[in-house]
Amino acid sequence: MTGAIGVVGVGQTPYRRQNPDKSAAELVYDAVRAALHDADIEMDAVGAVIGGVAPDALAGINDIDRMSIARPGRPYLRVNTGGATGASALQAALTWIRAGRADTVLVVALERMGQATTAQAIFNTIFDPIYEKDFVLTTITMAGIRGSMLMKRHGFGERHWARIASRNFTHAVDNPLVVGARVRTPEQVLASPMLAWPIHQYEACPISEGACAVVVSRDGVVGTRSVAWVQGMAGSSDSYSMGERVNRREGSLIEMVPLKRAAAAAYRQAGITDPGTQVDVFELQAPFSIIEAMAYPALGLCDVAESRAFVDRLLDGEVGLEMNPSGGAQAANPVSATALIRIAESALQVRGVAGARQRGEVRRAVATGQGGATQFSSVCVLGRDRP
Amino acid sequence: MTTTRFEYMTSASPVTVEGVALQRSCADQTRSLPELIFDCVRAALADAGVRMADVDSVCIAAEDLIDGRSLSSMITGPAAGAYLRDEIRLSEDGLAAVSLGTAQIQSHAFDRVVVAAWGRASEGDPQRSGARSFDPFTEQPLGLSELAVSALRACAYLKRQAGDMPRRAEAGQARADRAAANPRSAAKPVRTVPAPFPLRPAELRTETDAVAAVVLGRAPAGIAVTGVGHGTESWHLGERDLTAMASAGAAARAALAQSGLGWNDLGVLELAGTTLFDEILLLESIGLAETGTGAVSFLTDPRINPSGGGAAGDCEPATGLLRFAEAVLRLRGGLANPAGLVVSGSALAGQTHTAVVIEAS
Repeated sequence: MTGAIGVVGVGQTPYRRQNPDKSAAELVYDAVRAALHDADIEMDAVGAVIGGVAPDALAGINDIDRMSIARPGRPYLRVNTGGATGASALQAALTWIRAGRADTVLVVALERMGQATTAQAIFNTIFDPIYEKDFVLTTITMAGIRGSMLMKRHGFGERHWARIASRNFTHAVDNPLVVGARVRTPEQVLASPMLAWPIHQYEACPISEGACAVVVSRDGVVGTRSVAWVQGMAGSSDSYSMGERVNRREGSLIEMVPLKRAAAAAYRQAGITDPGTQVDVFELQAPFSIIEAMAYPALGLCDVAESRAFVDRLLDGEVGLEMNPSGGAQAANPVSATALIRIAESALQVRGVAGARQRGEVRRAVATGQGGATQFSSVCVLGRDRP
Repeated sequence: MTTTRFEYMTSASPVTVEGVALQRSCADQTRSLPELIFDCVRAALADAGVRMADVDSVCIAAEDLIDGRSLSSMITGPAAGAYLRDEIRLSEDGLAAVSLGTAQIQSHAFDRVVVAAWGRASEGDPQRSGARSFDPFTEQPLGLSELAVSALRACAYLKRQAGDMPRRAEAGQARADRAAANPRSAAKPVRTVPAPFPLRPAELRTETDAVAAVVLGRAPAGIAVTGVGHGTESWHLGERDLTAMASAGAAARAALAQSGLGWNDLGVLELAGTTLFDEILLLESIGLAETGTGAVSFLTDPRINPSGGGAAGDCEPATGLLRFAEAVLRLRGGLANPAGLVVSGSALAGQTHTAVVIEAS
């Protein structure tokens, strides 16, 4: 990394199932205006705009970013790495600044999946049209496969998934951006309809729309602004085929190998050797409880073999880590924006301006991005200390 | 806060083009899309004399609707080498991926990047999928497409000129001749489409299946990226001067200013447009030809689209990377002016453009 870069502005719309009263451009406008206001800059200070929109089919319009995010007179790129899109877009912005192409870049991620007739029918089309599509492989069933592996190999039970979801729902109540947030007990989660064993409805993410905007600037122009410094960021991708990932030297399907590699690289940049003690807050892109449980060992918080015991201790309050103070992706999952929201929420925590969901004095936070069938991963480390 | 001009060109080690490959085919029944991608990336690596293990990151340009599945990079990315390494996919033209790949190296994040882009027109009709980019209520019912916008540009141009473009038919023939002389041209189109008024069949592009791959790095490979520029204009067609292509002009000016080169320093220009009319308009928009004289310049200046442009075979979003690879190969062949400019646009109808200047040492 050459030269420090920080998050100086964050803007988010509320996240709800649909926004029938707002166009895509209006959602983006609201988020961008809030981010620029938070950064105390005008649009003239923005040297480039990076947009993040994932599968076009979710919005029903191809290249919906063109009409809503691209800004005349500014270099513009659209990033699309599925669920990891928002994080990849931020990574592209960091690249742009470090290459000396701009001092300040605006990153905007947008999701309009509420326009889709059925999101899971569209997610079915991310899988192989010949071999996988017809047995209804979706993001839910692909997570279910991982869940059954975790239960078989490491002794997880349905209550683990329910307790993780319950904790996230409880946190979301403090986040005014999650429209309709409510506390759900583990029993209520377990009583919700079964979507695909072992996943109950309340262990899966909802359909969400919204926009998130983040302003990043290089050290020299930050001035006296409140900053969450990017201490480390890295990404990694994996094979598409789940079958190839069941038994291999690098790690099995449930070990989230790309997340592990991304975390190792980002931690190395940030000087983190023990994330369990050196990170105060984690914002995880985990649309399912199962994915969150898989992320813990990948992020270096426990060994794979001990992950169930770690989850038990974590949920019992015996581990001093704050997970998803915003409620995470289980509370709101506007797919294209979710990874950027994790970064935005981490930045708010580090800057100490997260409102009711603020977790005390946060010196360092980690945000993850996750896309494809746990195929694309990114890890971003934000902190108060300038790297 | 102020925005700085590009400063990276002062860095000691320029980004160089270590390897290129481009492959056009027509509904190859023996290879899947991932196999087409794999073969082309492998050829680019071989051209560079490196292995995939030597590559840090993969930067791809791909469109879901053309690839025929949502989040298509799940299956295509690994074919391009994105396995247990950094990967980013742009839903942009391939030349935009060259820009980002160049920035990845300039930022010192990576030392070597594979840039790849593809489009399989035989399986995903780019005109049909492109039409889905227009407003579903106010524009799609009109039957708009990238090709239709090109026809609208031509209408506006001809109305402004109050007459036909001088030497238009000859320019079309010259373009076909250049494509015929290009050994990398598509053997045949995967489909033909009718020419919307006032365009003529000879002015349309050859729709084909295409993959291009480039290896960018720091090794002294002889050709360096010395200028990059971007331009963006309004999404709304009604807010644009369709005959001006402002975003292309802005991108080209920025790239040339960064490189410090002028028009007379260039030995090859690869200008990508949906049709010959767009390619000629690009010439005028970037300032290489006076208004109304683009066809004459196209006809008389052998530096312009020596590959044959769209007539050689094209499919979004590979367009810009195909032309970039063509320009690199042209420079490798030796030119009196050892520099090239590539300009290519993305959806919607050239709303954004990227320009890249390359120079042989």
